[in-house]
Amino acid sequence: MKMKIKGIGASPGLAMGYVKIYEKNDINIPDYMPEDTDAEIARFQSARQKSINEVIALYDKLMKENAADAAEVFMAHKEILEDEAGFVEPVIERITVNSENAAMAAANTLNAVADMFRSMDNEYMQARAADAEDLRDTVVSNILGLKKLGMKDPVKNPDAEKQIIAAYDLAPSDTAGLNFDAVEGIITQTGGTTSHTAVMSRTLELPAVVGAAGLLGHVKGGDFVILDGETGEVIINPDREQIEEYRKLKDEYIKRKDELRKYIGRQSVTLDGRQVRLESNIGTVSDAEAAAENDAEGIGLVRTEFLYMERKELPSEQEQYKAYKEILEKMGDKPVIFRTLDAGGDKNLPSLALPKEENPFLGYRAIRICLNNPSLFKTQLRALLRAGVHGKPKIMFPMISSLDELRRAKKLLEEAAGELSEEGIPYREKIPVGIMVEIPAAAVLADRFAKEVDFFSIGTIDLVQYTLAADRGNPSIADVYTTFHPAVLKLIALTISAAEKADIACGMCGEAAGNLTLVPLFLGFGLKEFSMSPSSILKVRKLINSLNYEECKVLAEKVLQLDTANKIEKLLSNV
Amino acid sequence: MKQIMSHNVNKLVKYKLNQEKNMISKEVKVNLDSGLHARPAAKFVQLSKGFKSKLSVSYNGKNIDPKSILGLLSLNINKGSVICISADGEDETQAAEALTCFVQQTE
Repeated sequence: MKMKIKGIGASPGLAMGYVKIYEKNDINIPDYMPEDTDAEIARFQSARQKSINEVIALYDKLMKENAADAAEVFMAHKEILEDEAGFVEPVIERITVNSENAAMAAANTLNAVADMFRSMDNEYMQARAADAEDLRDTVVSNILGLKKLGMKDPVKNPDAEKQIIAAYDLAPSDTAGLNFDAVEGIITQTGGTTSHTAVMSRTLELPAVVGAAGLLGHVKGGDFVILDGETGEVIINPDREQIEEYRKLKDEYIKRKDELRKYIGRQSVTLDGRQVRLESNIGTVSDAEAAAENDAEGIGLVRTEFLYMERKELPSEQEQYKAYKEILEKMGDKPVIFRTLDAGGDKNLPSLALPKEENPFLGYRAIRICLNNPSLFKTQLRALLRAGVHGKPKIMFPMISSLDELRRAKKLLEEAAGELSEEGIPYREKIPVGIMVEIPAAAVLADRFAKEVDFFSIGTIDLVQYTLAADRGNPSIADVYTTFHPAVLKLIALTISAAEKADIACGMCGEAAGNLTLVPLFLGFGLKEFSMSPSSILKVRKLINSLNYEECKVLAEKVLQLDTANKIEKLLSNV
Repeated sequence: MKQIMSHNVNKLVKYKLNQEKNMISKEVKVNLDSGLHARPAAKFVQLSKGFKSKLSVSYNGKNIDPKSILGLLSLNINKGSVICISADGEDETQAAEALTCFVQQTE
């Protein structure tokens, strides 16, 4: 059956091929108590040796693929397997003292290691828990004599060498163990852009889509699929036309990629000399690296929610300080806009225990929560103020609908600064403060807001949703939800010109800022800062380099005269 | 982790009792950009294993044997942290010198 599913683009590129389902052994750890502890220790030691040989083989394999970064992971795995005090001795102690069998002792020891990593306050180390669990499965499988199952469902078409691996999840050793000559791409049902699968496939330059919900319910071994590692789109059993189209796109993609690399280090300036800044939106500390790799000229949006997600307790001031500092240090003297906590809506954070609401997008979210919980808010503001000394930060408040809210938020920021100064803790003074313009009320009153902030950043996703009263996630009204609507564009133009008149900065940090059809229009409106996902930056720079600002201004005038979204989209598509 | 830590602690107690007075200890600031995590940590362990002396690294009130990567990673040492490196044994001077130089690199 032909169908499309959407996941998260994790490693760019287009791939086509036949699905192979990657299945893992269910590992059942036996609970017997060994009689002969020496024999049990010997079982463990021989499994350990076998595991060491396996990780060395993976290391060699990746080095041959010129993926040194990915290979280093297995050097570290080998060190852990050879770690006497940290790994071998605790396992033996569990066998001799606790009478645990070899498999249980190894699993318990490595689970404890995973827990230790998970409890650390830095994102990189937390992600190492997956390494400990990968090692656990390797060692335990070797103790129990289980073979790695790996591929199931032989490909229906035996001539087809091109494989697309579909899995619930892939551990580093799973990914590294794939046959790279045959594998064209990877799709996993779980995981995000910082998952191991994502990171590994990027170093191996294998197109990958992660977090494809429902994947294994929809595909079976032998299905033909197309995957787009940039948009996260997966087409299952495409028709002939789609295959032809993707074949062309793939050739173009390869050409385009080489071509785009030329734009690294170039200025974001139009033919007639209008200079703009292309920045990146990031959701984690490690995203800052992707931003730097794509030559971002700053960070236009840090979604600070990452610190609050998937955890039961709130992040401490110190923990937040460290994360913000890390981002600022990575970006050096480039500006970084931190958006304060934007919880609620579709982002329910367990640590806040928010009640269920009828209309969460119109309800208790973002600045509304923060103003109601001054101590929660001030913890974040203090962390931002302190981290500020390590770079060039700006602070942005989300979901502002009235000047009262802005004034209250600014007052709390002042109070936080006052506290720090009384406590003698160093912090950055005079951090620029701005608002996210995403509620129509803020756009309409942009001239008043402009007198009290240092910058605006237009959040297009919510601005469209609130202007058109159209839920962005509801497929039945997907045609109502459109950025091309004249009312939306008028509000955007209004906001930009209010900023210009008041001589404050104005940026945009929604997907629209990286939309090649819309960029000429926004440029014509006078927008100077465009913030987008890292992979869009070079494409937009290339476009900007080919545009004429004066012509874009004329285009913008024309667009503002049109009365329907269709007409506008048509005009812009023909530019 | 309790298992691992208690193990290290036991070892250290013994180690402290046996040590001679003339062991070398040095305080040093970690300049490595990514601290003693990941790649630098694995290299630091490999370097440590090359020496015969008994080695220890202490940071934040914890003390570990740098020949153990899990011990080292459990300290979660970031750039700018000040750690104490001790060496005791026949090649203690070279060991202390080599480990100190390593963490002072800026990558």
